[in-house]
Amino acid sequence: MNKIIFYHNVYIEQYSTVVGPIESEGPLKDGFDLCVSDLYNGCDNYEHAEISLLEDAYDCLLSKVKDKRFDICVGGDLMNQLGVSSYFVRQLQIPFIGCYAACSNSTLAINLASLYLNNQNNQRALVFTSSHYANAEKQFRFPNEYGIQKKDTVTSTVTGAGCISLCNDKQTIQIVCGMFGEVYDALETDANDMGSAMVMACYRTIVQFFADGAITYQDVDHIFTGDLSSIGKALLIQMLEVDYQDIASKLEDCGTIIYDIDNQKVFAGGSGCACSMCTLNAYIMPSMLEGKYQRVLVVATGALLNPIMIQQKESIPCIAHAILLEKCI
Amino acid sequence: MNIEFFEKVKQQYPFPNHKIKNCIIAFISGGIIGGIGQGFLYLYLDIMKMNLETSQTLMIMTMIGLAALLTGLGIFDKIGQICGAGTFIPITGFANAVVSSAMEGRSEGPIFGIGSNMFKLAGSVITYGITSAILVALVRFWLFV
Repeated sequence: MNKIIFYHNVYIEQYSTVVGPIESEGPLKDGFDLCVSDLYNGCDNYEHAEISLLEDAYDCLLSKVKDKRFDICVGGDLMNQLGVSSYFVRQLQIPFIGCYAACSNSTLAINLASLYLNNQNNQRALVFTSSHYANAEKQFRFPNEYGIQKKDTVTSTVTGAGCISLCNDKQTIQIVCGMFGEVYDALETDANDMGSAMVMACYRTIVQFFADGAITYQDVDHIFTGDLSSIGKALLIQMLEVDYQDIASKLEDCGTIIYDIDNQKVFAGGSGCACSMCTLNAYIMPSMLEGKYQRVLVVATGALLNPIMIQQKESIPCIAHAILLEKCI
Repeated sequence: MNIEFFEKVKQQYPFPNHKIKNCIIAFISGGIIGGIGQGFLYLYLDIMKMNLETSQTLMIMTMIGLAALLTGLGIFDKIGQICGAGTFIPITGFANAVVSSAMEGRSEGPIFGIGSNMFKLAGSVITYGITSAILVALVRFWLFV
């Protein structure tokens, strides 16, 4: 049985977001710190472009914080061997924890950093994640210019990078607790419909989070899931409605917030590490600061898919990590 | 925990299904591509007065060249999203598979990038094309010698 881990003295100090061209035309365009106009961002290739997105987000974060010292950095991306993260941190000279949980990297990294900061004094952590549409296509699907017809169930990887600085000094938003999800395989094999594959993992994390007893469903103002797509979100709402009748008005999916899925060509919604991270930084936390939500549960979901295993007719194991944010002033 | 319930919910969900629409668009767009090819064939045969064999080869080369050009310009994948099998099945699809893979490998250099990536998708077509050609040739050889 999973247990909620309570964090003491862990606060979110500042955050920054850099996104690509499609995201900057979406509904959250005013919330992003920087929008780049093309996928290359002035670099020779997409890999370096993703690194430059992270660098831009980091520079942006540094311009917002007074104390530019970090004791640890935690982050991840979708590339093989965490290519982007490793090459980004080589200039920072900060101890680094690289993590991979596919699209749920954001909450996994925040949970890991919170564990590090838990019960400490005057410690600071940097959390970052990034993803890039073209890199993810190359890594998990087909070449970018390949003229294959995509299904309506496919999600589009968000191009972007997000950084968050966590600290022990009291700030407006506190990370109250978190939960590491367990890997669950619903025996889904369709790599073109990862939204429905992740539903069960997300469902289990949410149910176990409330079953723990420390936090009740009524304590939470809103639940944000990672990148379940419009299909996964609809399935999850149907499943949770049995226990929680008003879940439809209380649950939203980051992949459907970051894009205008009716008018933008993004198929079923957004996905990728940057999806939950950018929505967290550009929408969820600003809404909390405005006073729209007091307590928010963020459950980022990840399809731990490996292209080789998929070709070996394996199913897609999925995971979902949760964090609970609270506005404490 | 409730996997049966999930299966039930998923079965009831109205998944978007455009099979018939996609088939019709593929039929029409595939026909248009065939028509364009036929147009080039007539151009080479009747207007340029070439013989049939040369005209056919030139026509195929023209279609491959056009598909490669459109892939390089970033237009082909957008057409492919609409037309589906209509652009995928003719020789244009093969040209697109080769060129798009080569473009993807560009950042890793000419040998390990372009050279080795070029046939990543099209390689299986070539492999099984050659294998089946040999098999058919052998059968024909045994039957008619």
